[in-house]
Amino acid sequence: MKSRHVPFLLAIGLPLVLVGGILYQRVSAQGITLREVLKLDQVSTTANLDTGQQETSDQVESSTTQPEQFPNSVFVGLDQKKTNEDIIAFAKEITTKANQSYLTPGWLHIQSQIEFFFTMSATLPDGSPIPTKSINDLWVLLDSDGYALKAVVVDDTGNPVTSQTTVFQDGQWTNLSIPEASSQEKEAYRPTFDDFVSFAETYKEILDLEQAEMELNGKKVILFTAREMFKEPITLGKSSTILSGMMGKYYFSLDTGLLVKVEEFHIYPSGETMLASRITLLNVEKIDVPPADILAYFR
Amino acid sequence: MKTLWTKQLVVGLTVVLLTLFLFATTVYAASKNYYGLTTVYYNNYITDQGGRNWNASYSDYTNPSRSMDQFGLNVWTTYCSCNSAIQWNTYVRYEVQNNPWMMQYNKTSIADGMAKAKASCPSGQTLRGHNYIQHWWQDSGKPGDGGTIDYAKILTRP
Repeated sequence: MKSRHVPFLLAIGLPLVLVGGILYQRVSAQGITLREVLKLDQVSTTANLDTGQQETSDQVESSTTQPEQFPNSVFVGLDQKKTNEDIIAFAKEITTKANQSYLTPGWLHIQSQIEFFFTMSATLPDGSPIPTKSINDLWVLLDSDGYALKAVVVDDTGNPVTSQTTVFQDGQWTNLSIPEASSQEKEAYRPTFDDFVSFAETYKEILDLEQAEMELNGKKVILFTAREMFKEPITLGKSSTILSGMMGKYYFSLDTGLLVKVEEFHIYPSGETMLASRITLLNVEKIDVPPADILAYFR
Repeated sequence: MKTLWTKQLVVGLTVVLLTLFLFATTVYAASKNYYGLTTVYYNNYITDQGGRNWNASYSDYTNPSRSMDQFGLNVWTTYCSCNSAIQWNTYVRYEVQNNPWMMQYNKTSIADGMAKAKASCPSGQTLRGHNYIQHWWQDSGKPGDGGTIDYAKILTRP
């Protein structure tokens, strides 16, 4: 009876041993763990540049009390988690208003201003300065389920070298200005105004959420603050910038439910915070037909 | 009896092939034969690290194992995009001419990674992490060779 299963076991066992051997040879030569190769754990944020070997965190390896999916995050306590759930429920109520008003069939136009106060590089490879400000226009045609049939993004930095136009058609984004940045796979694109809610729900275990009511430009807004601290500081790229955490401030209009401003802050090991970027909503409108120069991007 | 062996062998191999296929789809990989001396396998990884950061990394290895005189990268570019428009504050490009740490010597395998902050996108736009890498290797006085992987992955946006 047992011998009947021998070929089955051999068929499974031998190739797996072979593959395991190759993987072991590979990871032992690099000094990295199999968990990293299989992407079950975080890849180290710093590397020994002389040897090319990656460092791993003993703390991460030995941690048994925290879920594996956020290995380098400080987790919030039960009380904060309950507070987070209340805040997320409230944010859901607010953003539902915006979704119902604007995510209806037809053309939608969203105009935002993007500002950067921190950049990873000062210049592009050709020496052009990295732009720190742009006006971003999204024109999108929605179907009855809220999915995009076609869309255009014009990100205008005021400089033709760094301004970009991207077009969504047949389920794929194409960057007309920098083709390398085009998406490589098809997607079902469904813009929403509740990105903050999805974000807060996904990361409620590691976010410290707060809410407050205030005035912004004479209008009532709800400010949600989301702070995330890293268990170990991270080095951004190969730069000398080290972060202990990051924080976002999300300002929602009480009237419309729209996200009118987002500010992203770096948190440094000294405890100091610095504004890294800001996105300000300039205009949202439902329109019958976009301008001819926008329609001209579609085949 | 013989038929049963054949059936079990086919079922077993199918299970293994399916398992290997599922494993292979978790990384973006390529390989190149190098003058019949060895095959160089090169991989790109993009890992969503949590709320606000992600990791761009790569690993290269030779099989059969062979120590390469030079083994590394010529170019490494990473950035975030919103609806496929590059977010310039996240753009970084390293070239080996100015960054000698990108090239290693007498190695059979190499790996490195860099942490990145996620970009904020305007309302309703899709965030992607991009990891563009030009790999390079050379050995035994033969002309060098290399390969390129341009990989992008949708990230959970802040």
